Amino acid sequence: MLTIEGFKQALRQAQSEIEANKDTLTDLDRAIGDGDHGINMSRGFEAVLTVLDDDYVTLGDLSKKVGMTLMSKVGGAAGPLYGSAFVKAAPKFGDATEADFTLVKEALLEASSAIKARGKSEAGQKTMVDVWEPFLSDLNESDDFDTKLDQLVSATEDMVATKGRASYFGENSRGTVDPGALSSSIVLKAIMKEVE
Amino acid sequence: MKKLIGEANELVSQMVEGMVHAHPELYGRVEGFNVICRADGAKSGKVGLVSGGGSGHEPAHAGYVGDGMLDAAVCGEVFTSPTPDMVLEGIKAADGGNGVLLVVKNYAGDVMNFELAAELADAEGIKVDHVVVADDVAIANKEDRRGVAGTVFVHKIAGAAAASGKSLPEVKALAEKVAANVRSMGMAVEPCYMPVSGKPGFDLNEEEMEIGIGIHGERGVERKPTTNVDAIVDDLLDHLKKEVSPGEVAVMVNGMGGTPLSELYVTYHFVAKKLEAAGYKLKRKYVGNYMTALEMHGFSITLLPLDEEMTGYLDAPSSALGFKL
Repeated sequence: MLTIEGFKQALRQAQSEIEANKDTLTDLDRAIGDGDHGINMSRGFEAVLTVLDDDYVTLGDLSKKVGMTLMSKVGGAAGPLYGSAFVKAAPKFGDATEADFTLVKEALLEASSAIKARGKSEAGQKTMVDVWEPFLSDLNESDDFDTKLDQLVSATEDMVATKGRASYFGENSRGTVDPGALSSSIVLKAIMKEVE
Repeated sequence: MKKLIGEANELVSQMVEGMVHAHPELYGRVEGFNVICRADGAKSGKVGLVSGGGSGHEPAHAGYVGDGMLDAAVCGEVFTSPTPDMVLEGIKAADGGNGVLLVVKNYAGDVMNFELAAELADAEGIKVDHVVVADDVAIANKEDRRGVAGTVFVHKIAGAAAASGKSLPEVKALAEKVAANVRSMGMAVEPCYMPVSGKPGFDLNEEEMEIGIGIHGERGVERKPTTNVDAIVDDLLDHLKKEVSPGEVAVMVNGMGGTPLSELYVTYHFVAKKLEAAGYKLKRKYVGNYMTALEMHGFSITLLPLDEEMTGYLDAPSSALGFKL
């Protein structure tokens, strides 16, 4: 069950993991982007920390607030993408104060669709979609979430980017893990841990 | 890398504060936001023109705020698109009641954040439209092309059209005409260094250069052994000439921020000689720092085919510091 307190805990966990991986995210982005992903995600989740001190009546309220915060603090492409993800997941959580595995999966599927729609992207383009979509498509409660997420992140290494700034490098984008895929796995791991 | 900055996270805010304080006759700041608007506010009845993007491209974009050009510039973090709430503030500051046109460079983040802001403005009853500039021929696929120095010509021509009293659809049509025809390509011999991380956008050794760079410190599409500027200009012009036919053009040799003016004029000397020999008539010429990438050492060449209408708008008065006429 994901409770409001559990959701908050997941976001705190995501923040501390992003902080710990800030340089890695930035280095990956330097290789195939513009080198600011770690800095932007760190700024955004630090802002999320401050809104976690407030009280929320429903999971939907919390998800929406987190989405709006990310949208206005992260910037770049990641801001609208992560922001839209949490904002669009909010109505799925609705008035629930706790969510079972099925509801969490449904909300995350909404988030995944929002990312695809906002980024006008599909799986296979070496973006965060390559974590969100395959992770959720056949997700079962009994899965080893962390291992599955790690595998999906690694799989982006051999992809050629056809979307986002990495696409400017064409074939040269092969050989580097997509930084958005890595940050997505950090966020999803933190959430799934609280569902278990 | 040594930097002349205070707290790195405050760089943009302190830059904006400095600009407004230094030029109070030109600039105002939307309180609480890194958004620069006109000192005298939105012009009633005029179509508003808003641009912006990450910082680090100075004089873009705030340098183009002024009579005859932009009404507001939204200054994101260095090389990071501004957020939708910031862009919305820029739109509000530029709205004179006759609609606002957003000039957006073709980067995934910029396009998403500006589109979100347009949706928010629409919900508040402000008429907003946008044009996306994608002038960088280094990227083969036209849909993926980045918006680079050619964006300045869009600011200038659309800005002059708006100042002359054209309607939102008319200003947009003109901006799209410029965007559809302007072409640019850039290169660098030295990277730029991100202020927060202190790291270079890419590592280059003494004997290498990057061809086809963007304006965010990202690597170019091709890494080559360095050669003299004469040959480099040939390389870039080969790409540009494929897409711009000989005729009357405006040419811009744009510095990337760390290029001495002497080198920019040497570059221009070769650009002009080669273009004229190839049958281009250089009707308007611009040499200087228009769209930079921090302290990157390099340049870009922009070509815009001209007709009488566009030439007229290029020559119209502008009080913007980055493009004073």
